[in-house]
This record gives sequence, structure tokens and C-alpha cells, in this order.
Amino acid sequence: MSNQGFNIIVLIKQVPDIEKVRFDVETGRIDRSSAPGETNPFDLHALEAGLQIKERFGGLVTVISMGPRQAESSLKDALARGADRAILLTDARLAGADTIATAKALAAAIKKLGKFDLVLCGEKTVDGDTGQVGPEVAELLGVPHAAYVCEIREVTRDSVKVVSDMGDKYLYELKLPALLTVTRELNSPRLPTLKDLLRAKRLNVEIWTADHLSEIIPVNQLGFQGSKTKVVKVVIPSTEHRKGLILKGDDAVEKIGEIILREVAGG
Amino acid sequence: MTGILIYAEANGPEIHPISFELLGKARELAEKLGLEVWSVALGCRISDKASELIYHGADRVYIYDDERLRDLNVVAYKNVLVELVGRLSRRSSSSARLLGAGA
Repeated sequence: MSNQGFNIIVLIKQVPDIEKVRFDVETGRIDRSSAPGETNPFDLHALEAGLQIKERFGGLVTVISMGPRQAESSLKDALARGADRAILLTDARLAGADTIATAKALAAAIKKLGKFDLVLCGEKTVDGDTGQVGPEVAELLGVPHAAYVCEIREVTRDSVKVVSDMGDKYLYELKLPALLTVTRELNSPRLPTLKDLLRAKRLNVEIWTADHLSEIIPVNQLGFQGSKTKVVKVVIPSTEHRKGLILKGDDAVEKIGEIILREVAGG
Repeated sequence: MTGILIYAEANGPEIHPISFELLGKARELAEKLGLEVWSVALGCRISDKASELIYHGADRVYIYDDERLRDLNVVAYKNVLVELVGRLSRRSSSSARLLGAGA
């Protein structure tokens, strides 16, 4: 590990391919076997940003993910794209975590790794869609963060200048170490070549369990046990289509009134 | 009295419409549970927004009106909100907080 280079952490998550995945409307469950897992698309932009900074300044890109064992394939993919080190937090005791329990596990892993300059993650995941884990990790690490970063204007050894897109755009300067959550507008992720993919097959993904984190955080604060929110039920929104209705005659206005009243009462 | 606290987003001069939707939902929940609806807004020269929030269903409104809150400085905003929620929790325990998924 060089002293001058950047120590960059990228947080990624494997999600079901949202275009292909099937939902069971009756039970509200996601049938994960119906679609292969892929890396959350936003996270690839975070990884790309990390790789670009490493290429300019030197350093080390470490990718961390929490999830089931099959998430290893996303970490291998990150190694193929140029990451130096990959860690998978996987343990039944980490499962069922809400955003805060997830953030605690990820923050503990980052603390265990030691010194870092920059933590990068996608603005949100396409399955959870909360956008909370990144900022929560920043809070737990006690570092500043900028969310929805669509442009990295300037990087120096001790600060970054970024444009944050929160509807309006804001220019922020943050002291390092800091955490950024990034949007798709930030960059175009590189694709690994076949050679990279073959090379990455032989690279090692480190497997960490809750025991690896227990010196940093009590295990009962992680996973389902450590979660403040419990999912009671998942509801798949039904798609309403536009309806057309043509009314003619003198009583058309009255009929419209009736329809509106019925719709409002029904809704 | 406990209450439901709604964060009213006011990035710029206007309150984001999602905050009014949240106030409507909070009103519904409050009636059911016998709670009050509280709302908080941060910004610069936004004191006149209080009546708008009351009109949309808030029983009590906290306004933080300060030059330093003119721009969305997330750290300053966070510090103010954490302070308020802490104070309310000690005094009368706000039982739920609803935030729009905006900023």
C-alpha cells in the first residue's frame, strides 16, 4: 500500500436483474431464481470513478459487498474491471438487514481495513431504492458525504469538489476522507475484456463473516436482529392504464359528475 | 402530547409539494392514533411558510430561518434536524418522522 496513493473503498451490491425478475403478486415475494444476479448498475459508476482516481493518483481500490455467497460473482466482475481487492461479507447473521444494519456492517468492515481516503457507492440500489445506506455509512464513519454526485470537478490529496444533483445542482467541496454516492451521469463504466474476466476468475474474493466484524461492532447490532425496520408485507403496485370514455347527449355533464363521484368514493 | 414530525423541504423559496402529500398522510395517521402533526422547515426568509404548512394539516410548525441555511448545506441541515428531533424526543417523544425521498 503506497503512502501517496489513494485508498479507495467502493461499496457494491448484487441485485436481481430488475428487467427480468418475476414477482409473485400473491405473496409479494421476489422470485430470485427467475433472474440472474447482476451488480447494481449505479455501483458500476462508483467503481469507475474509483478506478479513474486510482489511475491518476495511484493507490488501491477495495470493493466491499454484503450479501449471499453468489454475490461473489459481482466482486469477481469488479476485480476484472480493475479493482485490487474484494471482500464479501456473508453470514446468516448478517441477513435480513435493513439500511441501518447494512450500513453498520459496511462501516465496520471499512473501519477494520484501516485508513481510507474516499468511499464511493451508487446513489441507490435498483431493488431497495432507498438511497440511505451510503449517507448512513458516512455518518457511522464520521466523515462528510455528498449524495447524487453527477460530476467530480477536482480531486486533490486532501479534498474533492463535486456537483451534487438534488433536483437543483449544488457544488460541494469536501475534506477527505469523505464518502460520495454517485449517479449514472458521472461517467461510463468500462467493460472488462475477456482476458480480464479470465484473469479475475483466478483472483481471490475474501470471505468475511460477522465474526470478522465483532471486534468493531457487537453482532446483535447487525442483520435482522440489528434492524430497526421489519418488512411486514411487500405489495406490487398494479399498473393503472388510461381509460377513455366518450359521453354524448344533454346529460353528459351529469354523467361525468356521477363517474367522478364514484371514482372518488371507490378510491 | 406526542406527534408525527414532517420535514418540509424548502430548497429555494417554495415548499416541495411532496411535503404537502406527507402532511396529508400524517393527518390521516394522527387522527387514527390520536397524535398531533408537527412540521419543520429550514431555509432563509421562509417564516411566511408556516401558515401554508398549518393550512395543509400541521398542528405545530418549527421554522429555522437563517442566512446560513439559505443553501442546502447538508451538514448544517442535518445538525439542525438532529437537534430538533433530539429535543422533541426528550420532551414529548415524536413517535414517527416522515421524510420525502427528495434531498
